[in-house]
Amino acid sequence: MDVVKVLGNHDGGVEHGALLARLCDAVAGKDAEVMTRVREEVRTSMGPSQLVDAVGVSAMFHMMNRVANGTGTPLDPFMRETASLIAPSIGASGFLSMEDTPLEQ
Amino acid sequence: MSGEVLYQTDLPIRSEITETHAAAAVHWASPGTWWSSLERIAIVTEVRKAWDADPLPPWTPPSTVEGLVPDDHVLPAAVIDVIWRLTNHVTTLTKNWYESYVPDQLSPQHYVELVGVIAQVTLTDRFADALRLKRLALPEPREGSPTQVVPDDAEVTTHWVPTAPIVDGSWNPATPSDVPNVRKALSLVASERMMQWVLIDAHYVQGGALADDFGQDHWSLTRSQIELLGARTSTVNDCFY
Repeated sequence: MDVVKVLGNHDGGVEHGALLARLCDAVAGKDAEVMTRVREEVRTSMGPSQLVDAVGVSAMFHMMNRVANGTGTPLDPFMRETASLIAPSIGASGFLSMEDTPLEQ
Repeated sequence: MSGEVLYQTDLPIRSEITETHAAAAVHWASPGTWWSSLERIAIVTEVRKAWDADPLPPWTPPSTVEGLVPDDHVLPAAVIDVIWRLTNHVTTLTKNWYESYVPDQLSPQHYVELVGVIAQVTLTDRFADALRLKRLALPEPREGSPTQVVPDDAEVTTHWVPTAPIVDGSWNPATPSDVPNVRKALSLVASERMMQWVLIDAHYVQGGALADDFGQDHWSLTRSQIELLGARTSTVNDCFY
C-alpha cells in the first residue's frame, strides 16, 4: 500500500504503479511543469490511450471526493470491515473526513 | 458532439468522455432544480476563478478579502465562500463547517445542487488541464426556471445532507435499493445525481460492474491500475470514503 500512501519508486504490484501515483499528484497540483513532465512520461511509457484514461479516472475521483467530503458521505456497510484494516496502511486514519464520516450507523 | 470539436487534440479521447463532457456543459448552462442557468454558469466561472487564484488559507473566505469578489456578483457571498472552500480545500470539510452555511445561509437543496456542479466542473477542468486542453466552453444560458422538485421521502439519514431512497438494479439486482452511499449523496437533487452517475460510468467502472470483476481490464487500463489511481487521488484529497 506504500504506493498509495507515499510517492516512491515501488509500483506496489501494479504495472506502472509509481508513475500513476505521480500522475495523480500532478493532476491534483498546480505546477504546469511537473504536469507536463509526468504527462509525457505516461504517454511514452504507457501510451496515449492509457494517459487519457488514467487522467480521466483521477479527474473522476476529484469529483467523487468533493461529493463525498462535501456531503458527509459515510462508508457503506460492505466497506466497514476492511476499512479498519486498510485505512492505516494508506494513511487514511488521519483524514479529517474520517472524523465526520461515521463508521457505524 | 465529436471529440475533435469539443477538445482540439491528437489524443485518443474516448467518445464516452467527450459525449459526457459535452452533456455536462449543457447541463450547467440549463436551469437547475434550485439555481437558475445564469447562477449555474456563475458557479462554474467561480470554480475556475477559485482554482486559478493565488491560494488562500482555508479559514479565509474569499468574500472577506477586499477586492476579490465584485459587489455586483450574481451569487451571494456565502455561495462564493462554499465554492472556494470545496474547490481548493476539500481536505478540510467538516460537519461544523457545513452547518455554518446550511440551513441558515443556504437551503440543503441549494447546497446539494451547488456541490454537484462544483464537483462536475472539477472533473472536466482537471481532465482538461492535465492533458493541456482548453477547458470546456460554456453554452449560452438556456431559458427556463428552476423546477424546485423535491424527491419523495428525502430526509437526513446517513449523510450530513438529506438523501432520498434510490432503487437501481444495475448495482446489485438482488438488492436494488442498496446503492453505494456516494452514489446516493446528491439524491436530494435528482438531476445532479444523474449527471454524476453518467460521468462516473464514462470515466471509471460502470455501476453494475464495480464489485465483481477485479481481474478485468477497463478501457485501456487494468482494474488494479484504476483502483490505484482512485486510491491515490482520494488520499491526496483526504477522502476517507
